[in-house]
Amino acid sequence: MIRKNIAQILKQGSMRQKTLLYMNDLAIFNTSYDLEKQLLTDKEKTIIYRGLKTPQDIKHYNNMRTSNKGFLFFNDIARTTIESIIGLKQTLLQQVLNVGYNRLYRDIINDLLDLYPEEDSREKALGLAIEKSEIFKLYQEKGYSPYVVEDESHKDRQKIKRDVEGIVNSLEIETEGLKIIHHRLKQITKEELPLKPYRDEVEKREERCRTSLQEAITMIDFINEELDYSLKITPYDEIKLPKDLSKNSVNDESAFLYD
Amino acid sequence: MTKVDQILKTGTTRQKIKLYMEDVALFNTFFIDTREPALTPEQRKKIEDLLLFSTERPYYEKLRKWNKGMMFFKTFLTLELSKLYQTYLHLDSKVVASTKERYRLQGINALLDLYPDNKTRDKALSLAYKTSFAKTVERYQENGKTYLRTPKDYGMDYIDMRLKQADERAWLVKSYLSLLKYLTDRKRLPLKAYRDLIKHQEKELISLYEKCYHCAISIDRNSGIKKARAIPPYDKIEAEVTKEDLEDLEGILVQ
Repeated sequence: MIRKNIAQILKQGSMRQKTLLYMNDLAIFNTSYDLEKQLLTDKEKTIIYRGLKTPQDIKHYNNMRTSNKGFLFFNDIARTTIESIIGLKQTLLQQVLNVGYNRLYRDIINDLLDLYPEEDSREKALGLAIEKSEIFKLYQEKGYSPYVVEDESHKDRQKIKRDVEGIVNSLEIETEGLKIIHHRLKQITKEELPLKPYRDEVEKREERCRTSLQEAITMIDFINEELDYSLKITPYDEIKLPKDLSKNSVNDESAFLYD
Repeated sequence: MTKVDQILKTGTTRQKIKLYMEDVALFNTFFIDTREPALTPEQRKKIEDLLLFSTERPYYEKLRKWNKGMMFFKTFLTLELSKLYQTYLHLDSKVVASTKERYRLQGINALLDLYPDNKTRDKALSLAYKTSFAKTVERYQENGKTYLRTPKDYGMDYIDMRLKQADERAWLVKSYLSLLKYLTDRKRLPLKAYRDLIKHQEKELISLYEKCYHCAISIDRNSGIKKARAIPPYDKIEAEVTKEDLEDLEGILVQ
C-alpha cells in the first residue's frame, strides 16, 4: 500500500477503513515477522486504536480481532501440517530409491549372467547372486536360461509394501486435514477478515501442497509400476471436503501474540 | 475431592488463576498427548467471572502476557523442528542409497571373480561400470584384479552441507527452547503442560540431531571410511538467551 494512500485513510477515511488498515498492518507482521515491512508507525496505530469510540466501531474491531485469533490458531496448525506433508514426501522418496536400486541391481546381475560363456559358470554365478542378495529368487521360462527376479515374499519387499502403504495413508490424512483447514481459513479471509497478506499465505501454502502431492503421485506411479501395486494419492484439488464442516471453537488464550 | 475441586473450593484467587492458565496450557499443547482438560466449561466460566472484579487481575494479565510469548515462539519451535526432521530424512535417504550401493557392488564383484577368462571379465566389468549411476563407482585393483567400489569422497560435499544445515537448525531450535524455558520459569509462566512440551521437544531435538550424525557415519562406512566422525555433543551447542533476545521479547510482548 502506497504511503500516500495510508496517509489519506488516516486523514479522511472512515473508522472501518482505519480498522482494516490496522488489521492489514497486523497481518503483514504475522506473515512476515518483519517490523520493517509494517505499514503503520506505533503512533499511528495508537491513534487508530484510540479513535474507536462508537459501539459499532468497537464491535467491528472486536469481531475482526476474534476472527484474527481464529485465523492464527488454524494457520499455525496448517504451517506445521505442510512441513509434515513435505517430510512424508521425503520418506516416500526413500522407498523409491529402495525400489529403484533393487531394480538396477537386478538388471545388472541379469546382464552379467548373460556374459558367462558356459552353463556351468553361469549357474554358479546365479547361485552366488541369489545367495548374496537374498532379495532375489530364480526365474526361468521354458526354453530360456534362468534369471533373477525380486522375491515378492521376502521380508524386505513386504516391509516396503507396509511402509509405502503407511506413508500413503498418512499423506491422505494430513492433506485432507490441511484442505479442511485451508477451507476454514479461506472462509475467514473472505468475509470476516478480508486481509491480503493472510490470503497470500494460504494460497502459497496450497501451491506448495499441490506441488508436493504431485511429486508424491509421480513416485507412487513408479512404485505401482515396479511392484505391481495399485496405491493412489488424491491430488490436492480432488480432495473432497466433508459435507458437514462445522466451525471449531477457539480457546480464548489459544491466540497469537497480536490478537 | 480432587486437587482441582479443592482449589476451586478453598484455594486463593491466584491459585484459581493458575489453574485456569494450566487448563489453557493443556489445550495449547494437546498434540503431545491426549490429556483431559483440567477444567469443565462451567468451572472455567466461574473463574472468568471471578476475574472480572478481582484485585488479582494484574497477575492474570501478567500470565496472559507470557502465554502470548509462549504461543508466539512455540510455533517457530515446531516449524524449525520439522525442518530438522526433513534434514534427517535427506540424510537417511542417502544411507539407504549408499547401503544398497555397497551390497550391489559386493555382489557384482563376487560375480566378476567367476568369469573363466580375463576378456569376458573385462567386458562384464565395463558393462557393470557403465550401467551404474553416473560417478557413483570407481575401479580399483586388488590382488592384480580390477573391481568396483564407491569413491571415498562420493557425496561428501552433500553430507557436509546437510550436517551444516543440521547444526544450524539444531542451534535455532535450542535457542527457541532456551527462550521458552525462560518464559516458563518460576517467575513467569510456571505451567506444567508447557514444561512438559519443552522437555518433549528437547528430547526430540537431541534425537534428531544425533540421528543426523549417525546417518553421516553410516554413509562414511558405506564409502569405506573406517574412522567414524565425532558427534559434537548437544550440550556444547551454545544457544543461550542473550540480553538482546530478552529485550526483543519484551518489545514484542508490549505491542
